[in-house]
Parts: sequence; structure tokens; C-alpha cells
Amino acid sequence: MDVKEYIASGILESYSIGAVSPQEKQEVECMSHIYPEIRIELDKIMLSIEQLAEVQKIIPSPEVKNKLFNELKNQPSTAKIVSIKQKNNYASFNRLLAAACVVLAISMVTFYFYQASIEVDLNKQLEFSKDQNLQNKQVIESYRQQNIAMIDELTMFRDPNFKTVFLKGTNNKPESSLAIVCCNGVSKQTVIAIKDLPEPDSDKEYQLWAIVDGKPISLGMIPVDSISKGFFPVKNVENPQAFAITLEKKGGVAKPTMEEMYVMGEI
Amino acid sequence: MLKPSSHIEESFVLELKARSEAAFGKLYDNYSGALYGILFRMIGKEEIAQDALQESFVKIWKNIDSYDRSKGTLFTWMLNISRNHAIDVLRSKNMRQKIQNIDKIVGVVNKQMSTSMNTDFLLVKELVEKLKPEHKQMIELAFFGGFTQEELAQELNMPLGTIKTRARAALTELRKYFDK
Repeated sequence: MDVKEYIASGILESYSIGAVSPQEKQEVECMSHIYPEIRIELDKIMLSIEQLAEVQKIIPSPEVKNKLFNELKNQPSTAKIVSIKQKNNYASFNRLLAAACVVLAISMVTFYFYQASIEVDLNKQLEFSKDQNLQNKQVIESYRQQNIAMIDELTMFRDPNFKTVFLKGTNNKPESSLAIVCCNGVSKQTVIAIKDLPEPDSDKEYQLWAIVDGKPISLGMIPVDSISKGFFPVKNVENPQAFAITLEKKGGVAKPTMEEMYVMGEI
Repeated sequence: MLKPSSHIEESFVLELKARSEAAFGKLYDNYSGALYGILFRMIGKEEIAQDALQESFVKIWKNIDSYDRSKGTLFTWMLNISRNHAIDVLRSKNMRQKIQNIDKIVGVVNKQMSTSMNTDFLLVKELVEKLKPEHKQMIELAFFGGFTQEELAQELNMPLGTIKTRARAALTELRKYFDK
């Protein structure tokens, strides 16, 4: 994907004022997470929209604030609990009216069954709510885990010591091949995401190389199941000048096979 | 100019989420002017715009838990709520304005709001006057107009992509002045 083109499309501005579809919204959030350039641009756009809004401000009448805070006092902070009112009007029946007594007896029996059925319903609902609650807890926990992973990644991308290198398809290999390496010389971390590489034959494996002082150093093999997934850590080297990926026999080789170089990118 | 909402502290957001009235009062004092400026330009009628401001802040209060700092600034989040609310109001009251002749930033305000105008107003007027006509129109319609971008594309008979790139060009142009 071309980051510049994406930014130039104006979608970030549309996102910032909320004029995008839910799908585009998700896309922008994902893109700004992966590409620091997009994140930086998005922050700048939001700031300028705020500045634009600030210089065009009009002070509303002070009444609005008073009315607003009165209304907020009436806003429930949690959902109201609705109590079930029980009808008690059988207390006032007259013994002398036998007919009424029969009617009352029938209605009491009905009421008893009615109450009993409510209780069963309530119990069912309680069970259901408990189930739901457990499920919700599990969902929240999985979101929490995802969130921690995302914050880690975000912290990494926001760190100015991280350098991003795009490894692009070489001459004789598919043009769409793409991998992204991020390395941090200070914290000595290197991570890679394989965006697109052809599925290797079962007896072959991709090998990652760093070029240091003009010499290739193997950073290890790339697991097949990591293709098209997120970032994962790899071996770190000091002062790399470039990164490349070659297709080699399973287990890797000592020196890269130059004809089988799929992607490469210089720092 | 007050400090931008991107510098708002996490602790302040937590106070808001705990529904602290003091924090909310501060939020209102800082941003009601900027939001009301937009609501007024979108709606054009003082009374309805003030109601819309009040209702927007009620929505902000109710939904503050869903605000996520990692996705954007507090201001743009509040702006989205207010804009969407104004679009709903315009729709329900059947008071969409015609696209011709709207000169929202400069025009409407001059006529009706001369007393409550702030000093920055001259600055924005000056800025907007400097813009190319198509950029000016885009700022007025896309950012302050009560239109969704799809509606604009239809009304102006332009592809949606053009609306988006023009809105970007217009904002980029304005940014040059802000950055000075």
C-alpha cells in the first residue's frame, strides 16, 4: 500500500470529522496503527481541525451551561432498577358477599400461579444473565489482551528510535511482495511483519538477512504461519544497513542465494 | 488559544469518565465556544443551536466511557458527536439549507451574532478570505455544513473522492496559516 497516496485521498480528514463509514473508520484506525506516518498525519489533521474550530468559536449564552448542568443532575449514572409492584387489593374484601368470595378465590389462585411463573421466568433470566456475564467477561479479557499487545506495538512505533524499513519485491520476484522491518538501535529490538510473500514449497523456507558492513548475517528462518500476520520479534544486530529475505532449503543456509532474493530494503 | 486537547492528561479523562461535575464544567468552559461556533454555523438559528449544544453535551456526558484516546483527540470525538447531532436536528426539522449562497463562516455570523463574536473571528475571516474559492467552499460545506460527504457529492455533482481530496487540500491550505 502506498502511504502517501492513502494520506492524499483525504480519508484522514473525513475520519477526523466523523464523515466515514464504519468500515472506513476501522480501516483508518488499523492503518494509523501500522504506519507511523499515517498516525503523525492524523494527529496533525486533528490538531488543525481543533485550531480551526477554536478560531471560529462563538461563546454561547451562560444560560445554556446552567440548563445543561441541571439536566445532568437528572441523568441516571446507572440504569434504574425497576421494581415489580405486587397488587394487594384482595385485603379489602367483604365476607358478606359470597359471590365476590368465589371470584376472589379464583383470582387468588390465578395470582399464585402467575407469581410462580414469574419466579420461574426470573430464575431462568438470572441463569441466562449469569451465562452472559461470564461470556462478557471472557470477551473483555480477550479485548484486554489484544489491547495490551496493541499498546505495546503503538509504544514501539511512537518511539523515535525505531526505524521502519520497507522490504520490497526485487526485480525477478512478484512486485507485490512486501515485508516491514522495524529496528531500534537503542533498545536493541528488531521486529518484522510479512505483508505478502508467495507460499513456499514444503521443502523450502524463507530466511531473513541483515547486511552489516556489506556482509549478510542470518537473522533466522521465517515461520510459514507468520505470513500476512502481525509483527514478531527477530534477532537484533548492531548497525544494519539493509535487510533482505531469500527462499532457501529448509533449515536455512550460511550464505544467501542471491537469485532467490524475494524482497530487500535499505535503511 | 487554549492548549489543544491532544495534551489533555489521562487523569482528566478518567475524572470525566467518573462523571465528575467539576471536570465536566472545565470541559464545557474550554470547548463549548468552539463546538457552538460549528453548531451555530450548521443550524443557523440561535435557539435551536443552543439546544443542540446542550443536547450534544448530554450525549458527551452519557457516552464518555466510549471515548478512546488512542483513536483520536477528545475534541474531535466531541466534534463528531455534536456534528452528528446537528445533522439529525437539521433532518428532523426539515431545515436543510440550500448549498447556494451559504457563506457560513463570514456571512451568517456577521448578521446575527455581532455581540458575542470573539476577537479571533477577524483572524478566521482573514484566513478564509485568503483561500481559493473552491477551498473556501469546501471548508464551509464539509466542515461546517450540515451535509454528509455523500450528500455533498450528490449536490455538487462531484465524485466522492473529489470531495474528500478537496476537503483535504482546503484544510492543508489552512494549516499553512496556523503553522506560521
